[in-house]
Formats: sequence, structure tokens, C-alpha cells
Amino acid sequence: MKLGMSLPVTVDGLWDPLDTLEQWARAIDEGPFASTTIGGRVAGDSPDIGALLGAVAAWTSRVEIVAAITPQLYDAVLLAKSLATVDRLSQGRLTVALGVSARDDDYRALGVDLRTQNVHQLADRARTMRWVWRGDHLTDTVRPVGPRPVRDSGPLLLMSLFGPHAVRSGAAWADGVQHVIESPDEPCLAELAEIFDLARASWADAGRPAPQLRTSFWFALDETAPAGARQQIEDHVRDYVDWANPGYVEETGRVAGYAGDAAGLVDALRRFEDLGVDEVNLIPTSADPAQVGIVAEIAGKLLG
Amino acid sequence: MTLPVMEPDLWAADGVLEAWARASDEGPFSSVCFGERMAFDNPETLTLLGAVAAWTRRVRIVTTVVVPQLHDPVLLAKSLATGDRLSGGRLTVGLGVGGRVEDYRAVGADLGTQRMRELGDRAAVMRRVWRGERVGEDVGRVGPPPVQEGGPELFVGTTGPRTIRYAAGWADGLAGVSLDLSLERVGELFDIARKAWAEEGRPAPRLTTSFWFALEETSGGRAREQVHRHLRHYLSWLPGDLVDAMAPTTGFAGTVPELVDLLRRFEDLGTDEVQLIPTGSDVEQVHRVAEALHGG
Repeated sequence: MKLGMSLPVTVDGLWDPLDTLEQWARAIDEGPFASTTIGGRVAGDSPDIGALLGAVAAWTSRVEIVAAITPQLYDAVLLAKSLATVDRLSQGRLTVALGVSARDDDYRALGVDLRTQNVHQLADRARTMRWVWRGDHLTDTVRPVGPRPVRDSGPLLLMSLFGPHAVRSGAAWADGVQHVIESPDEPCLAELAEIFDLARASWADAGRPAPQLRTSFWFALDETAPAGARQQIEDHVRDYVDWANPGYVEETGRVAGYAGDAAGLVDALRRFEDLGVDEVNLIPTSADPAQVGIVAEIAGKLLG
Repeated sequence: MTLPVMEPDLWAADGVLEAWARASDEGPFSSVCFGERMAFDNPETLTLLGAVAAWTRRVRIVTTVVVPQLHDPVLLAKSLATGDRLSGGRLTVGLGVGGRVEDYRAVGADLGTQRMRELGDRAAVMRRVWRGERVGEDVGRVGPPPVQEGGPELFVGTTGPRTIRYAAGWADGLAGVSLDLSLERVGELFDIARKAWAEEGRPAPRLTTSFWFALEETSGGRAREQVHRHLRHYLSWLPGDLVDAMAPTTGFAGTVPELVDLLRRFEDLGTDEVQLIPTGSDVEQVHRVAEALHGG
């Protein structure tokens, strides 16, 4: 089982100091993390994903770079060009996790039709991107839209969606699943086991190689949370899930993610090992780069 | 110094762009530049912006040019603001209409927007985003805010008087390109710009121009051939015989001392910055030019 660490692109203080993300990326690259995930939002102060991916490719030399993207927000051809560029700049370290953002304001900010917020559109965009990466001419141009990614088939594509229907549909186009869970507790792990079983079966039915099975969740550490780890997650949820109704936000804040000390996080991560999960990705809820070092140390123990 | 983003062997070896960016950052160059194409093997402009911001510490970073009609203007504003943040406020944005219909088609952009008026409209939208104004109902502010107050300076990509007059109302300067290196023509264009900006009651425009170059010292004495080969590749949307006809008089092909001499003459015209555009990917060109400029 591998461990990944997301960059804190949606938290308060992500630009203070200005090189916060650079500190995170360089620390993650030192290991033992297998990957770093870059997501983000359109509205708000998150960095633009494309520009940040370029920077992360430059700051790092080892880790897999996972771009967590809602392709409907972009032109699929331009997005494919951007991602191929990241793949080139990082010597083939890019993986793309495609999902469907539930944030209506991101669509509205870019004038994107909210009716594209569905699984079929996702598959459609994935197909278009694969055509671009293959070097196909999609319009009448002298040369195709390049550059070509490092690998002929293009970056690994993961599907980041909820629900059995979505998982089954992903077998047609994705190389695996990245399933975000609410918290690393028993009910969520049981649900995750079902999702993974379904994915294995769906990929086998579709005659495809066994899918990559990945998951992720929010975390906060007592060691770096001045107001307490649970409080940090509650504050983050209030800020990040600002579009949902207040009751839901409050309930989510109370239970979401892992809140505790570093030793407890190791125990929580151990519980994933029996699921056959390929990678667990931790999503920070504050911008303090000290968290990377603390988790790196305990992960070293976990990963042997 | 422009990065060799349009070279056919750009991706043949790892680290070409990084080597160019780092060498240019060491000086004495004032900026690192790169332009935009879609149906081509060049890196995507805004993704490269992030990487260049990470590779460099000192130089300004200039897009020469980005075509806003090929992007959503709100997203473009966000990407550029991100580039400004990642570079600590070193970004200058050259905007142009773009001459290639195929690039519009490739990303599904409306060809009806391939006009100067649209360029000004999009510049205005980007500045609103950078000032932190909301772009619509039910939409939060789209950040991050740029480091530079009000956003990066905006230059208009231009080759002629018409675009200059259109842009005097909104641009902070010119991102020109000189094909035939006619100092007379560049001087005329600068005069037109100074006058147009003054008539709009705006501060004097920053005057920058660019040209293709190849050095005898790094091309085995075949500088003109190098320029010709580059043009045949880069100007892929033009008929080959037209490019062949342009090649003998386009760009600079000569020795390093001759280049330095030419740059001095541009300086005498009141040029704020000349951006050299490479026609080969050998980073030795950066070192040679840097050495000569240091020496001078």
C-alpha cells in the first residue's frame, strides 16, 4: 500500500507565505510519499490547476503528480494539451483523476452548462483527451494538437466518482478509481470494500486489466492544529463546503476525516491494508507544511 | 530571451526548457518569453508559465503572446494571476488576436471573435477579475489576487499601426515583432504608439519588440539556414514557397558581435526591451549572447 499527500490548495493561508505550496511540494517529493495530488476550485483563491501543475512538475523530480480535475469546466482539447505538457515537463509522472465537481459556482464562473455535470460527459471528455494524446487530428489543422505525452497511451486515467452506477461506467474508459471517503471509520471502510469489489468485477467484465484502487480522506493532526484537530476540520469544512446547507456542513465537520495524533493516523492507515487498496491519499485541512514531515516520519514506519 | 518552445527537437531531450529558463535567469536578460500555439507541439502556455515561475527567481516572465479568444477570459485571468503569484509578481502579459484560424478551430473558439475589439473586451474582463470583482450572480470572487496591484501589465501583440490605435485605451505597452529588422519601420510604429497613448491621456507605453535570430558561432556558420529551417517548421500554416521567399530577409542571421551591434541600434530608437526569438534549441546560444552582453 502506497501513501500520497495532496497539496493544500483549498485551505486558508495557502498563499501565506507566498512559497507555501513550493514548500509542500518539495517536502512531499523527498518521500516516502508515492504521489502528490493537485485539485482546486475556480471560484476562490485556489491556484489555477494548469499553472500549478507546471510549477509542481518543476519543483519535484520523483513523485507521481495526480491532477484531480472536472474536465467539463474546460475545453477538452486545451485541457489535453495542458496535461500532456505537464506529463512532458515531469518526464511522464502525471496521472489524471477525473471527477464531476458538485460546485455549481465553478461552472457558473466559467459560463459552463450545468447540464454537463454528469458521468456521460465525463466519459466523453476522457475519450477526446485520449484522441488528442494519440496525435489524432480532431479538426482541420496542419499539425495535430501536441505535445504527445511521454507514454504512447497517455497518462493513467482514474475515475473519481461516487455510486455503483458511476463505478460500472468507469470500466469503459478509466484505468482505476480514486474514491474519496468521508472518514477512515468502519462504515466508510465497509462501503469502500464494496466499491472496490464492484470495480474489480466491472473492469473484469469489460475485459480490462485490474483497476488501480485508490482512496483519500481529509486529515488534521493534534501536533499541528493550534485549536485542536477536530476544530481544524470543522473550520475547513465550513469554508470548503460553503455551498451545502448549514446542517449538513455542521454534521460533516463533526465526523469527516481523521482528527487525532500522528500515532493514531498510522493505526487508521493500517486498517486499509486488508482492502487491497493500492494507495491512500491524505488531504490536508491546513496549510502548515510541518504536517508533511510529521506524516513522512510515521509513514516511514508504516511502509517499512 | 524567448524560450525555444516552437522547436521540433524541443522534447527530444529532457530539460531543454528548464536549461534555457535557468540560463536566462542568470542574466543579463531582463525577461523570459514564450508564445502560444494550439495545433503544434509546443507546451501549453499557462502550464509552462507555472514551470517557468518555478525555474526562475529574477527575470520577468512575458507571454508573447497569449490569445485570450482561445480561452475563457475568467479562467485565463485566474491562470495568469496564479502565474503572477507563483513568480512573486514577475509576470507581464502580452495579448494578441492570433493569426491562425486553425488554432481557433482546434479549441472550438468562435472565429467571429478574432478581432481587436474582442481583445480589449477580454482585457477588461481580466482586469475586473484581478480587482476582485464578481463575474456574475451566484458566483464568488475568482482569485487568487495577483501580487502586482491591479494585475500584471498588459502589452498588445502588434505588427502594425491599426492594432496599436485599438489598444491605446487599455494596453500598457507593445509586444511587437519585427520580421525584416527595419529600424525605420519599428521607429515609426513606436512613434505612432507614443502619439496614440498620449491622445488617450495615458502614461507613455512600454515599447518592446522581438525578432528571430540565429548565430554563426552556434550553427556551424549556417545561421541563415537555421532561420530558414525554423520558419518552414513554425509557419506551418503558410504555403512553403511563401516562407521560402520570406526566409532570406526575415530575422537576424549573423555573428554575436553583429547581433550586439544591432541591439544597440534598437536601443537608440528608445526600445525598452528586445526579445530574441531562437530558431534552434541549443542553449549555448543563451550563453553566447549573455557573454557578449556582459562584455558590452
